Amino acid sequence: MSTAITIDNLNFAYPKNRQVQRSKAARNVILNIPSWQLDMGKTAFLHGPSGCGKSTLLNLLSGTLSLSVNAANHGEIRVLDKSINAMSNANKDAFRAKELGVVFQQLNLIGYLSVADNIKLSNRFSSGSSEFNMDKLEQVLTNLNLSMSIVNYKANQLSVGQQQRVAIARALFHSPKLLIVDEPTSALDAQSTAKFMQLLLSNTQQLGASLLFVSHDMRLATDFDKCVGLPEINKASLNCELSQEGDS
Amino acid sequence: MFLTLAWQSLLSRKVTTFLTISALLVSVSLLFAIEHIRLQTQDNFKRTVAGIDLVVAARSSQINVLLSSVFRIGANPNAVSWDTYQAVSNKEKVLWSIPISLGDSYQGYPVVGTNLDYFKHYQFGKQQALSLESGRVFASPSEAVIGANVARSLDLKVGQSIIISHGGGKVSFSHHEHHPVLISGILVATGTPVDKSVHVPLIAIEQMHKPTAPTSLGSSFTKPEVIETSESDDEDVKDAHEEHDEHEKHHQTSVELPEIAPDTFDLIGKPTQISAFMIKAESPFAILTLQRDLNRYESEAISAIMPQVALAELWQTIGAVETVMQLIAFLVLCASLIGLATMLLASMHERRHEISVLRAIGASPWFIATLIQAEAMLISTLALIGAYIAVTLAIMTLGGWLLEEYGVYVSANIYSTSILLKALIVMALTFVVAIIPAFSAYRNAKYLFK
Repeated sequence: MSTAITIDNLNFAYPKNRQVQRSKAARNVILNIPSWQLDMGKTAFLHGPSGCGKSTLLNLLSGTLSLSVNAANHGEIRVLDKSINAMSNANKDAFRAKELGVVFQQLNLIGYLSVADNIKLSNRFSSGSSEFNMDKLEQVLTNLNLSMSIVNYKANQLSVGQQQRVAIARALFHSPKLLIVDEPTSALDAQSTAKFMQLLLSNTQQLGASLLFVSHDMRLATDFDKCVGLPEINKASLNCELSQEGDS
Repeated sequence: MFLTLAWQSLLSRKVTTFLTISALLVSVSLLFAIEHIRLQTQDNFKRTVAGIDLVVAARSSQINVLLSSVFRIGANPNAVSWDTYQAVSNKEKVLWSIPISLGDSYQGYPVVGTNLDYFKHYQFGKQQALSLESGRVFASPSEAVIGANVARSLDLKVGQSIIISHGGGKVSFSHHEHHPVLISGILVATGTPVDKSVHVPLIAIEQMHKPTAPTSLGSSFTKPEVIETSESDDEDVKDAHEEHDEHEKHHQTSVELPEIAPDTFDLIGKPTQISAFMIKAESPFAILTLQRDLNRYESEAISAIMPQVALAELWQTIGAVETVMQLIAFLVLCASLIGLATMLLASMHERRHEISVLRAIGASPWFIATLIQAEAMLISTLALIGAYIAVTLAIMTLGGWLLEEYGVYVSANIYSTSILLKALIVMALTFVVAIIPAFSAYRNAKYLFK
């Protein structure tokens, strides 16, 4: 069976020249994951205290951070059965645009662009063409309880809750096979959070995509197929409380 | 989509973008204006001398002869005798010649004493002859043909009479009140000093400067009806000429232009000397020999100059000043381009999140760097368009004043290959300068997640 994510014998430390500015603790190996995987179409909740290397892991998975193989860094990361560290930077960017949907904690949209333009721009990168299906946009927005009346609003005119839902809409618009979501509810109140989680999970399931959801809020873990603490799989996380770098 | 993104990004920082465009607009305008005026001045000067082979005046430097006799800038205090003029113009190699007598003025506009050959032969630009907008050429000693510019700015019409002042300059204290002249014709604009000249027959110059009583002159040379208007004007003038100049113009009543058959009057008289004369040689080959002959003319010390050659020497002299002006404009441009780079570089910090969003949706670091370049190019393009419009509008507004004050006709159409080249240089420099913020953006995008 194919997997959405396979991590094999991963060892990662930040490159030396970047370490100079970092604290002593952070110079140590950040990630050391012998083996972990997420099956295709499944959802996983990844939790852990700050500084455990959650964001580092996500950046490695999404290809915005390179695992340049050397004495300290080795192992293999396969995303959607493709080896991320074997790809060129340009291929990583294209792969991310096409196959992945990435959502951060907040500020996921370009504030000065309208909702429609934000999604169009993303679509441009994923499809490589400027063709844009407005009906599909309406469909995706409706699924996320957003009305079409907001499409011409500038992203920074929306509430944070709306912005996060538009961010999900953008990430889902090109039907990615894997959605990587990093603490998207940190700026939302309890009510919005519950609604957001419900919409996120239902939409992901509807699409049949895999989901890697990262949060330190254990209350959100209920509806996931898999719940895992990063310290459990990461052998390098003994000193994770000492370092704030690499996270957030 | 790409340009929309760059444009929206600039719009999101309206104030800094506006200020950067403004700074660039001012410096590009300076660059354009200096270049355009430089080209137009050269063009003007070339237009003026296009049809003249030689200019002959009392011995002086060729630039002085050219400026004083053709462009009526400055003065050559020495004169050429009438006998010499006669002798030279009768030479075989001379196709035609035009005598010029300078020194007087009307409200600051130079008065040119000449003969009818001036209207017949003088050519400007691409072999264009002078033509009349209204009226006719002068036919009596008390008539004048004025340039288009004199007519327009002083609101003069055919049939009005004017009092010529002694000497040059706008304010003169000595007027030839005893010899008013009637405007018989107005020339079509030429874009040369002809436009700001008042042309009178040579004999008029002679008469004005004769210490004789005005009555005797009037009865001998002018028609009675002309005298009448002139006399009434004279009274006005005697009261307070300086203060009433403005009123006078509007109070002047135009009279019917008298019908005068050609050759009724002697228009040349017996001048003893003239300021200079212009020559057209029989053939281009004759110019050099003619010039050599004239420069060795035995009975009088005269200079014969080729206007085109004198102009080239003049440009060489002025060239240094032009270079300095261009250099200043260029340095100002550099300063504003550095300002542009600074603005983009300073915005990089606040744009970290924007860059991370672009990266997350699949933009490469190159895309981010290109976006910054596109923003710089957009700013420069807008500044170029703005400067083009600003300079055009400025010339449309100030063109009249430039023509008035400096006799330089500046076309409001500033397009030329040279301006286009300058615009391309601005774009190229923008590209080079924007490499700094673009590179910074590239690094930002690449190492954002480390």
